Amino acid sequence: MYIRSAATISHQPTFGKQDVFANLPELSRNSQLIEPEYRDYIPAMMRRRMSNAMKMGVTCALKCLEGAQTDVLDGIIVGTGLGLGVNTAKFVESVYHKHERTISPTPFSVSTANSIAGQLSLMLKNHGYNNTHTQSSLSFEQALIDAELGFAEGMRSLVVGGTDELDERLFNYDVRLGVKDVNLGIGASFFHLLSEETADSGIVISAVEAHTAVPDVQGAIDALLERSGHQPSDIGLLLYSDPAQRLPDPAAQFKQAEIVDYNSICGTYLSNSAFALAYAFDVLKYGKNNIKAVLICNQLIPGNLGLMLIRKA
Amino acid sequence: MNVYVTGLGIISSIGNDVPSTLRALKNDITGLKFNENFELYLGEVPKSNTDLTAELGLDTDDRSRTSLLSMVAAREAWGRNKAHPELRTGLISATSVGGMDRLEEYFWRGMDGSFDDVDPFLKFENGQTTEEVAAYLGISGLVGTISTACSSGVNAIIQGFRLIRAGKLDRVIVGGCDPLAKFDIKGFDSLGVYDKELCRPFDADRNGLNLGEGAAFLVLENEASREITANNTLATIGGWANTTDAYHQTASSPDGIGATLAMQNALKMANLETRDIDYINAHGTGTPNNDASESAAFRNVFGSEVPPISSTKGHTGHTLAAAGALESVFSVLSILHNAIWPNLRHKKAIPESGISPVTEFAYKKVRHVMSNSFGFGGNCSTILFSATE
Repeated sequence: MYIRSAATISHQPTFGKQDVFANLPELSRNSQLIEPEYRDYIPAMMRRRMSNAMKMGVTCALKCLEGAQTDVLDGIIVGTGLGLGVNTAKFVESVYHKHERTISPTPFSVSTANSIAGQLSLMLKNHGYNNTHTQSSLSFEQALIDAELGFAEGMRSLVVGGTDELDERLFNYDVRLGVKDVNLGIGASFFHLLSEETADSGIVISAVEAHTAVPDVQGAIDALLERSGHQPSDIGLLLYSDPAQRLPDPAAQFKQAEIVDYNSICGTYLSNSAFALAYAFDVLKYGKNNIKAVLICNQLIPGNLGLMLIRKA
Repeated sequence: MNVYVTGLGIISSIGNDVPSTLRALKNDITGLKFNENFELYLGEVPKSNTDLTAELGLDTDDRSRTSLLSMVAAREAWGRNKAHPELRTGLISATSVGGMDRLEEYFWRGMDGSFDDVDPFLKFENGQTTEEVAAYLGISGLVGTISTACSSGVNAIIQGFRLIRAGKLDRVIVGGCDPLAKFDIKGFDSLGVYDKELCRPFDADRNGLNLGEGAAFLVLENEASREITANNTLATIGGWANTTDAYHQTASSPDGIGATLAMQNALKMANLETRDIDYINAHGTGTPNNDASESAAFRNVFGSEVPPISSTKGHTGHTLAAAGALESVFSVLSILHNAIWPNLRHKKAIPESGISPVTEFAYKKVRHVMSNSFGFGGNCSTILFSATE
């Protein structure tokens, strides 16, 4: 699958910029989301009712579709770990506080995880394929696997993205990540993918895998490299996320690669491997370097391994 | 490549397993009962989390109802299947509320007191409840959760089918679950879509839906897997479709655009004609909006030759993300037993479409069944099951 374009909103200045990811510093504590001018993409009335994941997801999707033929868009696929968590929490609170008041339905009606993909289909008037994956830290990888299936079945153009918003009460970071003190972030990264190489889509995702309860991390990495015909020395950049420090030391295997902990750059959120893909795309497409292939190892949640291999076509 | 259905498992308000569910379907039994606390008809599974935990042989009482109901149904479907070094096995589940019961407990304590005491067993995220089901069955690797509101269950089944077809898996257990929680009970209340009485899908005087809870799973295998497992084939999947209505976040279009496309695309993929369909298990929630929209879609697709249709939500209530999975099990049972399930409590056809569902249980040769699931966000999915020849 070929990446034609990407757009990212995050706690770093990433939106609408090229050749920036490689120079981003580690994210400081107490950072804030850097928001673009949402009004350039979403009308005011619509915006008022939208929580962060929705605004970010919709804006990034529309951004990466700029210049594309939207009438040949076969589908929209979103991966999100906690879905529309803010609306969900809001509605749970309103049920608690109900007393005799009637409860406003608005947060409930846009609390289902698929609201983002649904909203996009409304704005684009798209009747095509539409799916949402909520498999924890592997949600984005599952969304990409879904896209891979679609292209094999004859689809030609898909928008795929990962996004998460934050309500800290929804997730037990300590238990799930195996780390007590995490620098949290939120963000969205969306991609316009095509089935064929075109003049403006020379970056290819050659492999994506999602392993839950993986028994042998090293074995899984080796198998992916072998299946896609790559040596560790082919990898010019290795992007990883491993807060609980369970991954085998990547430097030992990937001696030629620059090794970057992307989680420390974008902040922790379940679908942040999408940020890593945007980073990889930016480096391969716009960077002035000799990097030909990037490997992403996502072990945000120990035991769950997401792998993506991206290269120049 | 054929993809076979080789296992079924289900738990809902009409039965705790496949045999009891079949008995209920044959005898017009509804699981909808008036709940005094919420003053609503609900399709509750009459087992507490403690009951379910004990039944499953688990030694800690910390799982969400979503995991527990899923484990019961998945265990039944999985049956005597085992891990095998040559079989690439996965699990694709579906849910819309995830571990909402645990979240509500935590939030209630938090709002009464403080949120500082994080529940070590807080398990809200959808993916985590699915991980627990996978661990219970001993499945690792390709595990996923789909969340597309009321079409989630059938989308999970479709995803499993596609993964086998694409050669990524040999065997996959697919399905979904949603439990009843204050969140969704109050949520649908706030939208004003309930019938305060028992729901009447496709009736001219219908008023709305009744909520239910449940879980259902199917095991899908390719031929290579079946050579090793020697499981019996119950049905095959002939085709599917996933389309979008793109009309409104929560309401369906009056002409049923998304639903029409879904049914047409599924038929095309399966290489079937409209006259080949022996029975349609409709989405049929009983809301004025859905049933009108879906009926319009039936007319668009089938014209004057609409096959026998029924909604079984009059039996189980609307089980949200589980609905497509429950109803896929009902569709396979329809094929296995050559039976058409009736649509309960129907008296008068919807005037605009003039379509009447089947109101009495009947035996009839059933070779191809279509099942529809339509959800918030405009997600429309259709799946086609066929008898194995």
